[in-house]
Amino acid sequence: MKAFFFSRHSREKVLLTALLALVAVVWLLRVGRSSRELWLEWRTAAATLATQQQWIDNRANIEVAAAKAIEHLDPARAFSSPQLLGELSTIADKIGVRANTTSEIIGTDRTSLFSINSVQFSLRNTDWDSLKRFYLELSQRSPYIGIEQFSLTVNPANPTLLTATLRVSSVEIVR
Amino acid sequence: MSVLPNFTLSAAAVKKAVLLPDHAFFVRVMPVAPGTPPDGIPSQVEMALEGLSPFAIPQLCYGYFFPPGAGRVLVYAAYRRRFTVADAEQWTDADAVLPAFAACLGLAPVKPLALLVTGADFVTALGWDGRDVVPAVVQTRAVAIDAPPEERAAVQAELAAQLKAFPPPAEVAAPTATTSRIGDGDLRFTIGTLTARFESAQLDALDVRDKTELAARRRDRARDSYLWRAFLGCAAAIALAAVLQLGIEGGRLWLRSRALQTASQAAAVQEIETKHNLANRIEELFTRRLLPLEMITLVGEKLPGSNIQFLRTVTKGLYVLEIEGQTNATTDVFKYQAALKDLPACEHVELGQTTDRGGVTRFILTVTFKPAAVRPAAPPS
Repeated sequence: MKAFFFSRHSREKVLLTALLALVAVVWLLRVGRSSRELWLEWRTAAATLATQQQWIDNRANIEVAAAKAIEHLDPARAFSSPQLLGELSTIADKIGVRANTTSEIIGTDRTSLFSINSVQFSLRNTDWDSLKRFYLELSQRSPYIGIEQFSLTVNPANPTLLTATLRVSSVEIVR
Repeated sequence: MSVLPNFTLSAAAVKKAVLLPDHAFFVRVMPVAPGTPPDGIPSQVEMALEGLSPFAIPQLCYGYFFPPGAGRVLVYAAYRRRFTVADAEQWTDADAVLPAFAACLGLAPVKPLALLVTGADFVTALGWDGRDVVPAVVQTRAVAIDAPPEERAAVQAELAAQLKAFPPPAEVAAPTATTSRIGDGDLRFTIGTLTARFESAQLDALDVRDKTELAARRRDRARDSYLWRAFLGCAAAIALAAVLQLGIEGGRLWLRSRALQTASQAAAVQEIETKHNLANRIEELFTRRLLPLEMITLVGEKLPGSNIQFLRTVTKGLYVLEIEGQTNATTDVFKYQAALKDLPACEHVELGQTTDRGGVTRFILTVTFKPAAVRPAAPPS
């Protein structure tokens, strides 16, 4: 290689060196960029794997905790999604506000041991006392039924009329 | 097939040395004062030549041999016009131009040695006394190319007689070419079974070409040397880039295997995560119930006496209640905020967006209750 290089004309030597320098710079820059990307991906992958490993390592504890969470629950008093809808209607009926309600199943989160069913429930244009009675009736089903979100809006035309929107959840035991 | 076929062409890859007939030069060996620095030698040589030669220095082709530490210097010179323009043209691309005997000086023997160097039209006797790497005796005689063997033998005998003080002389053919490859830092000649070697710096002194031209060649050599180093540096950088690229590809393979592992575990991890979240939610249903009406009742107890009207209340998590309200007395908002802060169950009250339009002030208050401070209302009897 040395003999080849030294046997070239000066211009060829300069051109060869410049060409090689260009290739080296371009390649090194590209390699640098790729290395940085790889490093970031590497860190992300390592962090994801570490997080997954933590979950897997804690699997036994979580399963024990999950089993413990439901061990005092009576499956007979638990509610599936349709049962939850039915129970909310029953309470509204009992209070006498059934006509003012709408409810919709919004989802179920399942595990092998239990499920949590969620329903969006609205009670429109009702007075404070009816709302409170509905709320207290619902509270008696705790912990099988619970409120996870609540909003109350006053009717601008008639401040004594209220609209309550609740996200209600029920526990369902899978055995 | 090689990408660079010139690599295998040894003739093209060998350095070019022009070896001139010895008889064209007059040669002198002169003592040098001990401790003379090497950079003082050229001026001494030129002074000596001015004394020895009937020609001016610019009319001479001359060179000298003075390795560092030597006690003598060997000087040789020839009248420039003894060489034709055609001869000089051949010198332009040569790596060295020197008399043939000068190629033997690179032997630099440490023991006494005598050589009879025979060329086509000359015979040269060289004798080293072992005390100095510069020969003590250098004598040359011209011999006609077509001279009969007897005449040539007579010349050799005459020169051998001048080497009586040395070991019996070895007869060797005058070297005709160098054995060094282009790019080598030195220049080598094969003399019989021996090898003479010169460094680049020595060659500049030995070379008989114009010294200005040699200085330009020296600059070219230095530039070529820098270019070669830069070329090597770039090649090394490319090699490094290639190694890093391989490493990156290896890393990507590893990442792909990690991604497969992550994907294969994802379902199981999701299941565990869901179980954990749902267990927490059940735990909350048991122990940390959301009590919205109790919170509204608590904040409502502070309303009497003010003109504030609630428009909307929303829970945010278990302990935060956001109240959107309006009033026609702006100061009531601040009074109400202060009253809420005094509530024992209240941890924090923050007044958010407040607007005033047409004499009606609308506001948002975010009330954070202390955990377990809000008690469930009594069930209906």
